[in-house]
Amino acid sequence: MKKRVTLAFVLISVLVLCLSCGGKQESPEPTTTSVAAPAVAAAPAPVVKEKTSTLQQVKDRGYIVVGVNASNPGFAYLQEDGSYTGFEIDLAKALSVAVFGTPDKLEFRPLTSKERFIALQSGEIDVLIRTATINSSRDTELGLDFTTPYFYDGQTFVVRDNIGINTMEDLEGASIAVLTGSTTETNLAAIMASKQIEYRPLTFENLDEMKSAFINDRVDAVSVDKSSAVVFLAQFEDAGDFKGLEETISKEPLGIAVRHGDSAWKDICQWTLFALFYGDEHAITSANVDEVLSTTTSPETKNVLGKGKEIGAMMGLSNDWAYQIIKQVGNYGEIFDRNLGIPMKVTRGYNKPWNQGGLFYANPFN
Amino acid sequence: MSLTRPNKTNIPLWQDTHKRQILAQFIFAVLVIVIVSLLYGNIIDSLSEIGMIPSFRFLRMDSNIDISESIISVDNTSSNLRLIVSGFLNTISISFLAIIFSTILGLIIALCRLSTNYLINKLAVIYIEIIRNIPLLLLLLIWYRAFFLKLPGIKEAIIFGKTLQEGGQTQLSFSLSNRGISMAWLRPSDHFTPFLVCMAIAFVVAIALGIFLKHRENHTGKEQRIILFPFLLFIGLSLISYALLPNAALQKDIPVLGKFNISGGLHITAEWFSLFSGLILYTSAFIAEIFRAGIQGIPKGQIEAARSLGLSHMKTIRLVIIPQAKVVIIPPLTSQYLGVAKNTSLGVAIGFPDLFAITGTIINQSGRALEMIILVMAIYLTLSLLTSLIMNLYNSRIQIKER
Repeated sequence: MKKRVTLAFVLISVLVLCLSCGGKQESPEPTTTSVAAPAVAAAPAPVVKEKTSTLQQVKDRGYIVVGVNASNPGFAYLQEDGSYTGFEIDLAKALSVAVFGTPDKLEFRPLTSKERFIALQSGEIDVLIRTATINSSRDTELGLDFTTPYFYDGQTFVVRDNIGINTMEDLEGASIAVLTGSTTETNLAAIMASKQIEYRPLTFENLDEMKSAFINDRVDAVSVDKSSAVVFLAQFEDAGDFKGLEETISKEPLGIAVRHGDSAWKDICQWTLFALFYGDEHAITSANVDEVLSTTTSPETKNVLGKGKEIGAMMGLSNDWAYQIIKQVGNYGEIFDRNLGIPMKVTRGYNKPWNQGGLFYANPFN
Repeated sequence: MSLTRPNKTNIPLWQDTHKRQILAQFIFAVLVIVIVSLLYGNIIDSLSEIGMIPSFRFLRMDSNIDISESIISVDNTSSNLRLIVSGFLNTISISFLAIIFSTILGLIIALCRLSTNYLINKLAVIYIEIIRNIPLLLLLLIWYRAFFLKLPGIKEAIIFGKTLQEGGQTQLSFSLSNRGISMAWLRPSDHFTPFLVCMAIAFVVAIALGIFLKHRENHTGKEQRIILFPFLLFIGLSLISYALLPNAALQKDIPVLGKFNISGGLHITAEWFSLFSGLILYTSAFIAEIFRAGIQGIPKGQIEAARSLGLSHMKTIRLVIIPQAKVVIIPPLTSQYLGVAKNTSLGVAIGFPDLFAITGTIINQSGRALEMIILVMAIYLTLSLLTSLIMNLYNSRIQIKER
């Protein structure tokens, strides 16, 4: 009997609360109990989110939290001393220079390809620079926004050299390793289905496990982006008997990802990239930027370097933001050569300014 | 409640234990509901803000990915739901087999551990102590990377029964490489159904014989072989029917060496076997200790009493030790079984596509983290509660009835 009374009370309270919570945040019901009311008032404080822009949050915090890879040599790599190095790390540094004027106001979060978008959606990181391919579903369904590409990549296969594989069709019946949670996984499945090539997929969460499976001959091929393939081959140069296939099976434009709906923050990421492209386009390097600044007659170059229109101020940055980026980090070409071109022997390919036959086109600074 | 309370109206609210309890319960319920609804509202708000209103519609969409092993057939046009089912079947099948084998191995190790032979005893101790104190993930990684991946490659595979066919094909009865194990296997042919019917009849006949023997035992008091004879009858009848049926019910499926891989036959991948054997090694060490506790928990007097009644060694174990040990063993054993089902999720580290691995992939490809996490939690919970229910039913049946 006693239990039944208690149960009835609980049920009634459930009903009351469901009704009061169902309506769009009406005033806390005083009709429940006087004891419960303070609890209602006290609880929301930590969970209700302040609506501030990412830029403001970053400035208040004093550093940018960047989602990166920790084991992709050339692009982003965690070194033995605990610091990060690589192409994408330098892009993050450019962003830090744009916002704070120095390249060291960064905190890196190493993420797997599986975790990366969730980390961005949930607000754990401010920006994601982690070989993320731009595509429509990520842009729309995942609640993300992308900048224009900072790297044009394409997917291919790395195979053993001595077993007579030259085209994709030779891979009939082979075991192929691929990273899970990446576009390579879906691309591989799609192209193999369309070409009706039977294969055995083997998916791995991180690059090291996948490499170890390939080197031990557990799989016949790995499917990765061309840039990764080059890095992969450079790492095992002495092993010598691996090669990348010529075929490119997909377009992989890599972009910087931010949360959907914060266009001010996206603008900063986007125009930071354009500043890097502009430097590359007009041969403004970290070495000659001071000289260019004092001698240039081009109004656009003046705008970029902070002597013309106040572009920086309009984005909530200092006016010499782009000058500082090129001065402290270098232009796109310098970053590329420093991290990929010289140590990894990656060729520029499409990753050149439009006036040199590539695809990079900095929108006008006007 | 037939007793009426004296001066019912005079008791202040805070001194009435009964009402106070109700009030406390009420406040607690209110608190829980407020917190849950706030969290829920918060999630919905922040998801709507970035344009992701929770929905389960994505389950019907194409998955766009291939997975390495599956019991049901899946490809990149299968729906996400079908992929989840496939992962669930992978999880279920591997945990079911792992539970059975680790129980058997656990029993053997427990018996070794209880043995009076110094060497056997110490070996069992070393096994249990080492395995129990290594994290399972580490065990799996060592097992996979240091053992299975280091096995010879497919070209240098360890091979038994190699025959060259006319078409230039090479058949292998058994092969072991770092891709896994391939072996010749029997598969049901097109004429399998009549054989299945015969087996069913044989089963019914065997059960009838069992009941008859039990009946006779109860009547005459003479001990009968209730298990052995019906079992032999079943096997015998099945074999006879197989031989007598006009078309063979089973056909041989012998693996064939291809350019890269071996196809056909029964193929066990290195990943599956790593996870399976890793789980067995790990779980059996715990189960061995549970068995030992159960057996040693029986007072020595029981065994001495059985001996003095003239029961043989085997009969002492079967009639005195096991019935009493079971009571102690079942509850902790249930926890171990639940652990196995959940531990299969570590297969993600070595590329085995279990439920958890597939969930992760779908989360990443569809971006539906909240929905998928809720779904996968519900699945694991159902699985665990089901295991628990079965074990609890069994437990309540074997509990010593105290009157």
